[in-house]
Amino acid sequence: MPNEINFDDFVKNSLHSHKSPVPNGLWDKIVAEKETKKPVVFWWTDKRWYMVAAACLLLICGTCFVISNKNNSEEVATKSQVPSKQLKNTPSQPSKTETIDNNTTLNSNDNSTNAISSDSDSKISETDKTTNIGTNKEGSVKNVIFNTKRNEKRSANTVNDTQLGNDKRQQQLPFTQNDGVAQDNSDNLVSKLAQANTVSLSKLFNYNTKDITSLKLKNQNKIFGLDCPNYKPSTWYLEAYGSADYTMKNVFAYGVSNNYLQRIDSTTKMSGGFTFGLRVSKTISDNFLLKSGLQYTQRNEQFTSKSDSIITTTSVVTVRTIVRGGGLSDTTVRDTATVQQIGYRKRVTNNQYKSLEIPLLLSYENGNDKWHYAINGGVIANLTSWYQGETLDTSFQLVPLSAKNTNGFYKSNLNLSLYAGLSIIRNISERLDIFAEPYFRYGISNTNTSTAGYSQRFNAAGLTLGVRYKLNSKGSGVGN
Amino acid sequence: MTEHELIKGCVDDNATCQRLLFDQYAGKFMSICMRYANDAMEAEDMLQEGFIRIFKHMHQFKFEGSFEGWMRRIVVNVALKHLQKKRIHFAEIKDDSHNDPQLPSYAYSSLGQEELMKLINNLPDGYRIVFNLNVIEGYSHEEIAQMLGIQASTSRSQLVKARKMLQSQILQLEKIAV
Repeated sequence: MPNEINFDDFVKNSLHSHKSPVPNGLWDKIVAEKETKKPVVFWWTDKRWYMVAAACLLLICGTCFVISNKNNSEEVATKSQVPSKQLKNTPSQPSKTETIDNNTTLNSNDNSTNAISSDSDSKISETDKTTNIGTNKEGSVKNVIFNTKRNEKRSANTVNDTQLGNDKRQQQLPFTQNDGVAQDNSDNLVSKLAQANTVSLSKLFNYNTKDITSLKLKNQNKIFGLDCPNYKPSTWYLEAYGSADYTMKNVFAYGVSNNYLQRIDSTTKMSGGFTFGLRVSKTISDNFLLKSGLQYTQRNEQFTSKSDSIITTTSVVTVRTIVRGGGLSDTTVRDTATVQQIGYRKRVTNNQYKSLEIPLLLSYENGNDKWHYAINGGVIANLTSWYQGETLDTSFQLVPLSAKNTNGFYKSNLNLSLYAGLSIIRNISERLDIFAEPYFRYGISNTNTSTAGYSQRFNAAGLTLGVRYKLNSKGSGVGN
Repeated sequence: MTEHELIKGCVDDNATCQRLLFDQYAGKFMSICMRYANDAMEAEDMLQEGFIRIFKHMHQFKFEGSFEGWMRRIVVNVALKHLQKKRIHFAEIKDDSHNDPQLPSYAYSSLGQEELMKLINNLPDGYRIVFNLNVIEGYSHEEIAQMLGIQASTSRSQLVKARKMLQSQILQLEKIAV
């Protein structure tokens, strides 16, 4: 124990105030970094902020999705109220013979169940008797507008009826014989229509003019006589991009010793990477696009192998001359000594992990004429991977890796990665955009085979820069 | 310029004061970084970040205790943060050998600082970190355990192994010299 204390004290006294030479130019680097370093960079060095950023991104995506869904459902509801939904009415009370101011009498069928269908066939049916009216959508619209007029007239009648002191039930009667319906259709049909609409139209009219407006809008979307709601031709884009990646590696052991894993960890250091590729985007709705293509990714790793206990033997020859007086000649003595030095040899290799991949992304895009933003998320499927470099086997021997021979260390297919990114897009011309896309990529599969005894996964963050070219001129664009 | 004035100047972001501070302590702190890093490049990165942090947090120094000690602590923390990125594992290595080398003081008294630095740098990462923290910086095993997120017993065992390995290396050198 005293021996240890003495030894510790010796080391401490020797090294506590020891000074090492400072590299030239370090002060300049410090000054430069001090001036350029912003606090925002600081918190990106913390892994927790990546989690927060991912959560925010997810929240934004979710909100956009919900808002988009809500808009769509409102639109569907508007469409379904008048033109395509069957309104079935079962009058609770049979209509009675009503007398209007001009003394015209209308007979209605008791207990009749009527249905008005305004779908594409524009059928008007009754339970006992079905009458098909071969009108197109315009006819349908016309009818509804026409009926609205009836409603207005009915209101006028209502005032008259009230003035005349008639029963309130009289006010519900939508048609009178002199309303002009008979001019469009046969008297009999009008009569039946009037009967059928006794209750249903009053309900129908409660949907007010908003429904009619939507119908008018729908009519504007007619192509070749077919009704295509909100039809927009898909827009296709071709995107070419490249990114500088900051790669992170996670290593987990499941068979090898901690010592080995420690060695693997200490000998390797990720040194960035890059990605470039092409992808095609297609609009699937006003704001959503599907993206897919092909990309090449390369991750670089610096592998430093240290060979311990390297013994270097140096022969030192010392020549001494002994000068002797008295006319005697000098004597030359040669001493040969051998000096052995123990050290280590350091060797640095650039390991490269290369992959061909297919991105499959869903993108939500919005913005104005000049600027757009997009939130992208999805998966990146690995097609094939190959390697180049060196690693250590479990006996700490160097093992070469090549495209053809991975020595059982690495898989040739890395399955899937999750991808999330936020794009800022600038419109350059009618067809050309440029974009910048900071992204995060999370590897969910191991790169190693099960025989390696440990697994490693790669995550990456980076900034993608690219150009986007609109392939079809008919497409109306996205998110405008 | 007194130390107090130097600190005040650095807090005020005075470039001259900062340069003076750098010139005064860079050598010592480089030595610290060299003992934790695997190579000179990594040590340089550590030192650079260490000084950036010192200048950034200078206003937090309360003039209580040693200023150099306060800065050393920052530099050591930066070095440890660098190493933690590499996920150093502190493995418990079983060693049943009882023939511990008994190192007489004359065996190491002639060792120079540079030789000692080289020997320490040859230690495995886990050994080296614990040895540096305990023997040179003077942290207790409990403090080391907290700093590195390991058990205090692990720190103790790492220190014993480190010391043993260092001493055996010194003995080996002695044999060669003889």
